[in-house]
Amino acid sequence: MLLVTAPLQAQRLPPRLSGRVEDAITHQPVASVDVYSSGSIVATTDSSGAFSLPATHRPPLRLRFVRLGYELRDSTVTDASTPLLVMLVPAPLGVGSVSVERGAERSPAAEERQRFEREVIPRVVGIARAEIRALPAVGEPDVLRVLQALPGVVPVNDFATQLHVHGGGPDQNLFLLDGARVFAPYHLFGLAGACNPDAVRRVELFAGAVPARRGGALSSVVEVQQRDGVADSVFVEGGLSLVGVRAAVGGPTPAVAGTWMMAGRRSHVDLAKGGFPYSFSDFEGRVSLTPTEADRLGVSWFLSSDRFRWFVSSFGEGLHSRWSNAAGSAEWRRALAGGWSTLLGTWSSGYFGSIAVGDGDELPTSEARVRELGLRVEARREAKATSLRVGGELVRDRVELEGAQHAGGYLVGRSTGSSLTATGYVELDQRLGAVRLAPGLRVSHEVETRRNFIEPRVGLRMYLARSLSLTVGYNRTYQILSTLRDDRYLVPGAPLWFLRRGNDPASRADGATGELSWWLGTRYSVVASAYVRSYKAIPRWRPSGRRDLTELAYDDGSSRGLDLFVRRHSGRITGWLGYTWGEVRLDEAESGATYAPGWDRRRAVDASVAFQASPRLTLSSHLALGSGLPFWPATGAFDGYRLDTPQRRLAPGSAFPVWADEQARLPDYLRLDIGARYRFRAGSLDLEPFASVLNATNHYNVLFYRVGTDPAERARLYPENQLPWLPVLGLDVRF
Amino acid sequence: MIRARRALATVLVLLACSGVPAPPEVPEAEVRQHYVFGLLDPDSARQALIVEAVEAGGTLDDVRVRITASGDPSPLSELRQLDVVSGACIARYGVLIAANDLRCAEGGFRPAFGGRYDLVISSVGRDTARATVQVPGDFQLRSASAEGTPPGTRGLAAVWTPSAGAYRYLVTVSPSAADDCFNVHGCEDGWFTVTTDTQVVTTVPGSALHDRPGARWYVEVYAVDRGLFEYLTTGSGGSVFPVPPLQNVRGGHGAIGAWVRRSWALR
Repeated sequence: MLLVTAPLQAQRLPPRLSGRVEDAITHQPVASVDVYSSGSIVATTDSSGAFSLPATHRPPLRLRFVRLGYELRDSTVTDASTPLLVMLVPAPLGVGSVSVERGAERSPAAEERQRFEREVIPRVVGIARAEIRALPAVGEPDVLRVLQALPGVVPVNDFATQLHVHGGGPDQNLFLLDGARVFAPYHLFGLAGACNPDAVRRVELFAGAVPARRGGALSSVVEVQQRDGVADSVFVEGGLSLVGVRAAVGGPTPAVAGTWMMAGRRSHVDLAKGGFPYSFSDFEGRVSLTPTEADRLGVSWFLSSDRFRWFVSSFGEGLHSRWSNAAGSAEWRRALAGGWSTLLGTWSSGYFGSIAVGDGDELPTSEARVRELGLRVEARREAKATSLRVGGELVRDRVELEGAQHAGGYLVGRSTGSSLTATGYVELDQRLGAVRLAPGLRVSHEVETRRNFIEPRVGLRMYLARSLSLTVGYNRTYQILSTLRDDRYLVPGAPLWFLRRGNDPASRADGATGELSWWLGTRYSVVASAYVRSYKAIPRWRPSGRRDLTELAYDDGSSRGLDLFVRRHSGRITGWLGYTWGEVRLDEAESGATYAPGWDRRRAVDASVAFQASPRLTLSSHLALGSGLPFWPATGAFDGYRLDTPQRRLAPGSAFPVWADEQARLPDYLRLDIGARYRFRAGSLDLEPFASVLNATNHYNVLFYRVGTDPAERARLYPENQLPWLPVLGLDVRF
Repeated sequence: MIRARRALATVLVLLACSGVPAPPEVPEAEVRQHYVFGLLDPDSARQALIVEAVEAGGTLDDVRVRITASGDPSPLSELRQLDVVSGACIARYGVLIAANDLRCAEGGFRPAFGGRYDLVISSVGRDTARATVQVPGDFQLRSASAEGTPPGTRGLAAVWTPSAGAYRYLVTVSPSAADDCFNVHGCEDGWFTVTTDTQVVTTVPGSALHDRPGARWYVEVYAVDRGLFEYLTTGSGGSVFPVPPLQNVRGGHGAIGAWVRRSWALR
């Protein structure tokens, strides 16, 4: 809560605007508060909490006060004759990693350093909003695409925004939007993320190591925090792109102090006559209320829907898929005395997905439904040398997986499951001179199966020098909710979630990560990290005979890797260069044979550059290089037989594929995207047209191979291309 | 800054001048295996197996199928490759359709009821395939009755003696080898059920059969081993999500099984 009081005392008019910042609870001065005006830092409070703006900054002014550990607040100042008294309300520190702030930007290096200091967890990376907007994309700024460009995160092809983090599968990431889980945060089969970029305030990614307060996913946690509205005005933003049309509005709430925000998107290519057989929409929003200085209430929602109908052959055979998300959350945060704060939250998540293939009126259809309800209670204390967080969760999951009744569908058979899990967690952050020790523990009890999951999470940071630090961490995570994924077929469409049946084992990952971070002034940072992880009971579905859940097996494995991340945070040229070396291996439970999952990309280079050619013109490019991904080649086919009762004998049946016993690798991947944005003002509108060329060199990147024969009747694999050379145009508007 | 722009432009030109790239070289299909399908019939003195090259364009040379009793290396019989047009294979398996090189391996051999046999399939330049077959024991179809028109639509009953080693029993109702059925995939009529019991009392769905005046109807019971049963009742074709059936051939593909068939002609 921001309080701007009446003048403290009558004084001679100061030469420039000044003031003081205090903690709203303790009334102690708050140092190192950044004061922003028009997107730039114009002052920083000293040890007494005082600040003074340059003489060039005269009211009326819109100021923003930003400080780690406090709620970000805006203020409109119309009178410089008296000093300001600004009250900031302490806020529970958010998790570290990628952070995208709406509106005014912190300095990039300061943003990154604050994020780094926030938690003692390795692999913390932040991307400035300008870099996300500048990165060339299919339609509009896409947070998931930017995350894929970071070292340690592997994309498998141009059509999937699913994340593969430190050797983990796409279902091993916990995607949260204001605390509510989203089970399929993708549009266009994963070509784009489902979150409207205009609605996003901050995105935080835990890559590999996750804090004790989060669980249920082996590889990463992605936390999306929606933006709040503006306290003193209404904003309207929108855009038109290749993907669709979007809009976001927000403003202050009536009666009770607070803000509201709503944003929506809809595709448009399907509306044209004979248009693209795909449509999507999403609608999300947030209401934030601050009834008292110490209380904050938040209600958020997210709805999305995708529908696809496509005929894959001239015989009328089709592939139809649709999925939808419905997530909502509510939370009450309260700041108490003595540095304590509490959180009471609840969330609900629903998901529906279906895949249907065939022809005629009755398509063999496979469907999945997920419903999750959760309750969380948490208490936190922040002090100079010690921070403590203690909390508990109660989560109810119900999953229904229903396949076709007859052969031909993606899945045959039915499976339902439910789980009720009670969890307690504790996180400690102890500063001991140049060392920070952060032990954590998460303990869960699954009521139905009576299983207990004990997950230690430990972090240690040593400040070797003023700008050099070493962070190491160890964590264990469990997961019982996974997606059904055919080991050999790349199938576009809705993910099908399933819950472990009966005595099936829970997946487990144990990982150790080390990171050496070096800050070169305020402009550069260099991060070198290494990780090693072991996996237990990773589900593998390689249907043979039947496409049902009896073909599920659980494999063990491991992954290891090295990342190098060099970044330039500020200046006219910003961006990063990342290199990843990684290896993932899984061992078949039945035979012990080792194989590589489909996301085992051994080497990758990502370079992203944004160049501020002029105050209005931004040029950007993104180069991605990667070694080929593994796949199971189809080497031939045979004709099956069936019992022909009228003829009272056997008769030929369908043709079936023959898969090789050894995997092959796709060719190396290369893609260069270039883009440009130009900002200008037209009356009261800020307009920003943008243009991109994806795969500017039209490099042939193989998506998969289909088996066939050449004119000499020899077996041959025919490649299918990924994204070709693709120009993209769009327009962003702000009012 | 000018230098940076020049460098960027140079890189773009070099990348663009690579031309329109051709599809990359594809990996070779190294698999050279057999597909084998067949069933051993203890009621017959000659056995025939279908052997096919798996990879597109592959050829078979000197196919041999060696049969031994399980646990005894002494060969009992060796089926040899014949040409594609083989009466024994056609008689047992119908018209043969294959995308790749297909052979029929045939020879004289009468498996014993209840016997267990190992088969080794080899040919020049290919991986050796193997399979083990459990031949069901002999059994008798004691009685069968089918009421209604078509038969069984108002009640079907049959009783038989147990067959040692049988995994499942298939009970069928079908007309005589239909003269008016020219489709190699069979006519629409024909129905079967599966049981582990030695009797069946059920009703045939009316939609499964059509009245055929003058046709002779049969109730047949097949005692089927596990390898053959799972192969015939699993798997799905199609161009989008095909899945091969369960197979018992090791080092190759397909299934080799056995059945014992007993018929009862309905009046």
